Amino acid sequence: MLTEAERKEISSIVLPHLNRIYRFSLYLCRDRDKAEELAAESVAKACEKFKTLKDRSKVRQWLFRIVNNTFVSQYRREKFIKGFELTELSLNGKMTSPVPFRQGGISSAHPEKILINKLLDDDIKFHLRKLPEEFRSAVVLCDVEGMSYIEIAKVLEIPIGTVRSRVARGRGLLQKKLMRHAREMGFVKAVKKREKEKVCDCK
Amino acid sequence: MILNKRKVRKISCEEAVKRLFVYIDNYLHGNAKDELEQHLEVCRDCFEKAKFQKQFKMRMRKLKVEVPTPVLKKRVERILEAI
Repeated sequence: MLTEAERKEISSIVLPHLNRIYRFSLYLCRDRDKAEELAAESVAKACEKFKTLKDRSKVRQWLFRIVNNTFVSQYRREKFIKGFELTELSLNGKMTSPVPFRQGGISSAHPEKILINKLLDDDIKFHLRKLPEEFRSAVVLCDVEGMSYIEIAKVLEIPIGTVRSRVARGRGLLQKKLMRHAREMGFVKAVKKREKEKVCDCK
Repeated sequence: MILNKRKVRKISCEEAVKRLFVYIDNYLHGNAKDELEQHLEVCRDCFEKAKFQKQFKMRMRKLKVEVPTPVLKKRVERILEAI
């Protein structure tokens, strides 16, 4: 049985991270209801395991590891994950509607710049959720949550080399999907596939 | 080319691109980093790629934050009260 002081301490540590816990759960489960279940369950587990948290400065990493382990042990096995078809509604209940943009001003040498300025958040999140799970977790933790490779290795319980590889492959895949989406929406014209190894003037 | 009084090996664009992600994640150090930075100083194409990857990473950080519903917040409060 916990004392009132311990209960307050747990609340003060867990509650500020609830948004992040939910966001990570959402990227894992790709379904709002399941994400809420996962988030709630992870909070319950965090309360049970509170005494295992030795370093208060690493609470985010500790919480995310609990979320990931709960997901892996329970939700993945129960196949709660729902995929999203391109034709289905996006998560916020609205169709991702393409907004036509003028194509002027887009550098034909670097059309990927369109991914920075022209795509909506919903487009990026939609395609991020479509990534295979191992790449999705790595990219979310690195690029959305801003974690270091060391932190990600601790959350996912994988070697740092594997983190590097998954982040690189996940980003590459995501950017490829977004580029294809941008072309389908007419934001950018199809460009010739550039040579893989360019002989640059710098040699 | 001499960088900081040390000779820095020239690398190809292919090698530079392979190191880009690790570089923007601040995980590239020592000679490997110097070699890449030297290449980015002289290769416009690779410089643009590095710039894009940094900007894309910043774009991802700014994705609209999903917030939990009031239902989840209440549920978590009940969990915390029950422990």
